[in-house]
Amino acid sequence: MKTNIPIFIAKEITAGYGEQVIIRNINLELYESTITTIIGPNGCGKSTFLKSISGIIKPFEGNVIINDIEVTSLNTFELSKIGLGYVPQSENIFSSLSVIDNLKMGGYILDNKKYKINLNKVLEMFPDLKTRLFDSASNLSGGQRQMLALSRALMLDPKIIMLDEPTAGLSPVIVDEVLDNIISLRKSNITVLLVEQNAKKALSISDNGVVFSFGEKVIEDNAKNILQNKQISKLYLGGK
Amino acid sequence: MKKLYILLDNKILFLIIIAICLASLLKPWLLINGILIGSLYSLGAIGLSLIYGNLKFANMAHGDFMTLSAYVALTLMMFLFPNSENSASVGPFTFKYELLLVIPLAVIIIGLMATVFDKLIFKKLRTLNATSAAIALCSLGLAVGLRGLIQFIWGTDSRSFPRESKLFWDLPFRIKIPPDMFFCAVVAVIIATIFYLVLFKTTLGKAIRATSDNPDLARITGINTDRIILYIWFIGGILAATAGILISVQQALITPVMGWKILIPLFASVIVGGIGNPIGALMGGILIGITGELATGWINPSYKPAVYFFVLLIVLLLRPNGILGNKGRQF
Repeated sequence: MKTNIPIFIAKEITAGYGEQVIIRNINLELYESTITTIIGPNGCGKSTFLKSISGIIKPFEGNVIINDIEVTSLNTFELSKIGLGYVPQSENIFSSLSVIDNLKMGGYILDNKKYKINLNKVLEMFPDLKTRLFDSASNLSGGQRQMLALSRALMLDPKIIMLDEPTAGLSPVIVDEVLDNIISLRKSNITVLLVEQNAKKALSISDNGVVFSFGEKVIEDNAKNILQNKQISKLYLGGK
Repeated sequence: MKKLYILLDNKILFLIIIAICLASLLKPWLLINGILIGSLYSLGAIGLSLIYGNLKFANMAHGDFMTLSAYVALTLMMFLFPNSENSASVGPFTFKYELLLVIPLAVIIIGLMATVFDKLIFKKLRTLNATSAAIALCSLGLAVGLRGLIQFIWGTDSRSFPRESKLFWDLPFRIKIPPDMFFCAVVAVIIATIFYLVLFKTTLGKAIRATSDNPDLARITGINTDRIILYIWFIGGILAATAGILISVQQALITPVMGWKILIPLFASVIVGGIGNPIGALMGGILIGITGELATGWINPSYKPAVYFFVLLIVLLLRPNGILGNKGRQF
């Protein structure tokens, strides 16, 4: 059941690399079972925002609250325990391990019983992986790699999942398949924060849209409104 | 089969293999010695490769961990079993029963010491985002410091475990094997097998490989990589300590520079096998051991380090990433 209480709050996040600030004062709230897509030109800080939320880089300023728990000071490995999943844009699988070992690592902190339950669950969701379980993950196709990356993140039953350009480099058919999977995540009561270059398609499946530009959040609105906004369409969605 | 084909496909490498086979036929006892010594090199090389594969720096202190382990084992033996000089030796071997009790203790102590060194030195360097070269230089400093400490505590004279002289095993084809050398090789093979099983068949081993493959992703996945790194140091320390004690038993000699001297064949083994690859380190160790020993049939043994570098040079010219290096990071 959807509620009006945000399960994720990012307050005034300022982050970057070394001493260089990439994103400034970003505020964002996510609600249960919704898909929110962040769009914007290359280098506007979309991926940096996700990295700062996941703890890969520590924000210079700001706070992240998930389910009323302040998580900014937590280590990256602890975030998965409180229900935050993250699939980075590249190198999002362990290529030296087999497919089954990738999933095993996805459920690293689970006990054996829960691991088996969750393994069956993700294999039902991604049946293509069933036949490749003992293959090296490095031998998977681009689409299968994304499926594996998503499955790995789902092994811990996340409440919120952040996906960084999950359709990058995939063929149109596979892109649709990946987007269908993202829709099914929402049906499973998972909140999705999506960063996508394929902005139109991503917004078409989203509830909310956010536009980043030069490291700042410039627009936040209902995804439909963003899609219909001619100015945004011209600037960020390739419209005329 | 594919690997064998790659080796045979390369004419120069094929000629080297033929040369090794011919030399082995002419002097088979050197081949056997080479395999036995190579197994010890492999054990040390696997530990070195484990650290490199995960932490991305060459641990110059690895050899001195080996030396320290021998001195710690000797001290434990003298402290816990002061009368071990008079006790019986184990079967056909020269060492005393007490040594078998002392080895696991010493090995665990060195494993724990390695984790302490990580906490005190290397973790801080990682936090400061120090480069691999800077961390390797620090490990060189640690190596020199450890050697100085060893000389300060135990002196510069050579020592050995209490032992009893025994006859070599006389085998066909003029092969004479010191029983201790056989024992050390068997233990090395057992430890290497256990390590292999841990790395490839257990969840901890898979987490170690995942951390090596992609540390950020490992953290995202919920793996406490700081803890995994401590396990890596512990296992690396255990492998170094086991190799160090076995080498001192096999050579019947403990000196403050024994570990430092063996660092050359160890690095050669790691690079020849393919940096960061455990199976490669195993193969590299055996290859370096065999070529080094076979060479002593025709040249002065003091030139052995030159042979190691020659083998290293040839392998790297033919396969720049080492024998199994084409698979990338394997830990």
